[in-house]
Amino acid sequence: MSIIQLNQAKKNYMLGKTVVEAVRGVDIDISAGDFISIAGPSGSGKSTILNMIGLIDTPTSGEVMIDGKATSKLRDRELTNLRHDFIGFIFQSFNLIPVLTVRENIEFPLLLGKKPKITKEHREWIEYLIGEVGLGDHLKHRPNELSGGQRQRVAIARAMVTKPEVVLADEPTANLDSKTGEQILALMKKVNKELNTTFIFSTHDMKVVDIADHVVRIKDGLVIENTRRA
Amino acid sequence: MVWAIAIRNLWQHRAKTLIIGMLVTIGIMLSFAGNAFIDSMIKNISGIFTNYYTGNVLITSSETMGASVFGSESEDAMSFPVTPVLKDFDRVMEIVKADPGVESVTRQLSTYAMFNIDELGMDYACFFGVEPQYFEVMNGVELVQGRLLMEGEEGMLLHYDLWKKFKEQKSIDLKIGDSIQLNNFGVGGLKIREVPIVGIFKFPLGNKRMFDMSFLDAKSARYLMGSNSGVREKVAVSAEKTALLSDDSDLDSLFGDDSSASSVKTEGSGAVSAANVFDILGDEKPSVKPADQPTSWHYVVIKTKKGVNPDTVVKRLNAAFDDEDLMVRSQGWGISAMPDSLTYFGVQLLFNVAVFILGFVAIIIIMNTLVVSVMERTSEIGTMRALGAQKGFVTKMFIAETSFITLVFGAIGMALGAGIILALNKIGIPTDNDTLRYLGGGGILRPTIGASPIAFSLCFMALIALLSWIYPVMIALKVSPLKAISSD
Repeated sequence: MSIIQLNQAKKNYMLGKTVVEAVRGVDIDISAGDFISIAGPSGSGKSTILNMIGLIDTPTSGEVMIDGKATSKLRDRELTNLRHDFIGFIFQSFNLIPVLTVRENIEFPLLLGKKPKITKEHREWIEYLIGEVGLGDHLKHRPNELSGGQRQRVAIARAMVTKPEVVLADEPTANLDSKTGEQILALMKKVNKELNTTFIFSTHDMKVVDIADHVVRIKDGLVIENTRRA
Repeated sequence: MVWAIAIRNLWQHRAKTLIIGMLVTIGIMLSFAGNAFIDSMIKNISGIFTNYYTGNVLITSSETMGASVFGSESEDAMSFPVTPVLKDFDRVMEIVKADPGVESVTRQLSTYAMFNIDELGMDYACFFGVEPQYFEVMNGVELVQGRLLMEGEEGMLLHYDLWKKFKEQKSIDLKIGDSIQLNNFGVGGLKIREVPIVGIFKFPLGNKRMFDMSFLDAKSARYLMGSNSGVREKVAVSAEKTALLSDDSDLDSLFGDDSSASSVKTEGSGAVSAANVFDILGDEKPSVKPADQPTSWHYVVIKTKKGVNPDTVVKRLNAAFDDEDLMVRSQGWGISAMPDSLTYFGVQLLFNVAVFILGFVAIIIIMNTLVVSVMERTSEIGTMRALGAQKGFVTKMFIAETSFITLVFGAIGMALGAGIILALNKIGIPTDNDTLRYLGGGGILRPTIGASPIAFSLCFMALIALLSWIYPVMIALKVSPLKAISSD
């Protein structure tokens, strides 16, 4: 079942007086439970595609459909709600809130919803996520007291806390050593299998691409390969 | 969570927080201490005025704007000052006496006259024309020599400072029982009267203007005012008599050789009055009785009961006067003490303007610091927006930061300001030189903390908290969630 669709999505940027075509009309169909890699070299447009899927950037033309709903006409408030309820984010630079502890960072998205309250059910879910990412001993630590791998684990738990349908990860292993990167990917894969959460991640690392079961290759703003693996 | 983020952010950027905080502290401290000081000064001055001059409430004629208890000023350099008398006086007194907030009542006239002593001194002074009962209501007078006025007596209570001035500067040693010639020249012409000194008095406190003031019996005051009393009636004068005023009239022939004003010897009952003049001129008399009638008064002076707000009495009386279309109004000490009170309120206004300028500068600095903070935190704000934070959440975060700074450092500023005032209260500020005496009323000023400095400082804090976040938030709300994401 299709959960996200990009229909002839284009994105142009102005660089001075020059128009830069970052994405030149792509069609991508992402199904629920996919573990999909958007791969390509630097400057290929993969992050722009990820941003459009994550509703933090809007296409110049074309459409991004989320759960069958066109998003181009939505207002900022609706887009924000959709991001909160439907999408989780994992950033290359972790992007944890520096003044919050590990636990507070994980809880943070729950306080941004329409009912900013942490229920008993939420607490059980947070405990489960903390167990899954293995950070039980660091809950009171601030981000600057954690290693890169630990920070990314916190980011994964934070992305999962609202039980989103989709998690977007922008080069999630780029700032990690290879061993930690593998652990993070394994964790993402585990969550994907156990909870059927769709994972979409951008990367230019071929080892990361190999773990995906759906690979979209981008070059010069165009899709050059769209392969589903058995 | 908003507050936790805000407070921790402020802690993380301690240096900036401290700079902003110090500014807020100094601003609030100055506003608090300054306001408490000025408030105490005005309270002190208002006490002096209400006890010695204006009473808590003063009733004046509504025919002129802002009638001061010291009498009306001239409308221009070419005209004489005119203080209207109270019309329907008996009815006015009935209404006043029936008011539940009124403790005691007296009545008064105000006039100006020159001392003419042995043809040496010609000092212009203000006189309150009163009855002996006046001193039972306005009981702040301290007798230095002699006694107060007695019923039916004509006489003067001379201010001690004037007595001292005559003695020291003009070598005139006035004694109880001496008569002083008073001259007044107004729209009714020259008025001359000799009045005996029955007492020399002073007030325990008061400024220079107040020292120029003495008391006269009401009858003498009425005489000196003559038609300079606010009765603005047209008088019908025949052509034959107005011809006397023409340029070619031989006016000199009307006077003898030694007819200077200073040499005219007068006595109370035989003095030249408006009535005499009309008798000489013929039958045409004013249609309204002049101010020298015994029932004519300029003011009713009221002392209110303890615990009663004079403003409520003022409002109640004015409503009653309006209901009966009486041409009078009641007013508080501030209007009655003009133009002096304008100086005090002017000082207060200037101070408040200065504080608001300081507040404006503080707001600009806080804004600027917060804008820098926003720029440093674009990634954090972008991340929050990407994770689903609405613009309202970002706004709340900055409001929390500015509110916290303002509340905490404002409270410190208020505490320091209160400390300064309490210290000044213990020490006491001597107000004996002329400038401070004018502002402080003389004696030792001990400032206290009333509701006004607290309310003013809270408003000032609220203003800083409300205004300083607006621009930084506008910048913060422009931060796109894209700022959270690393680009290709």
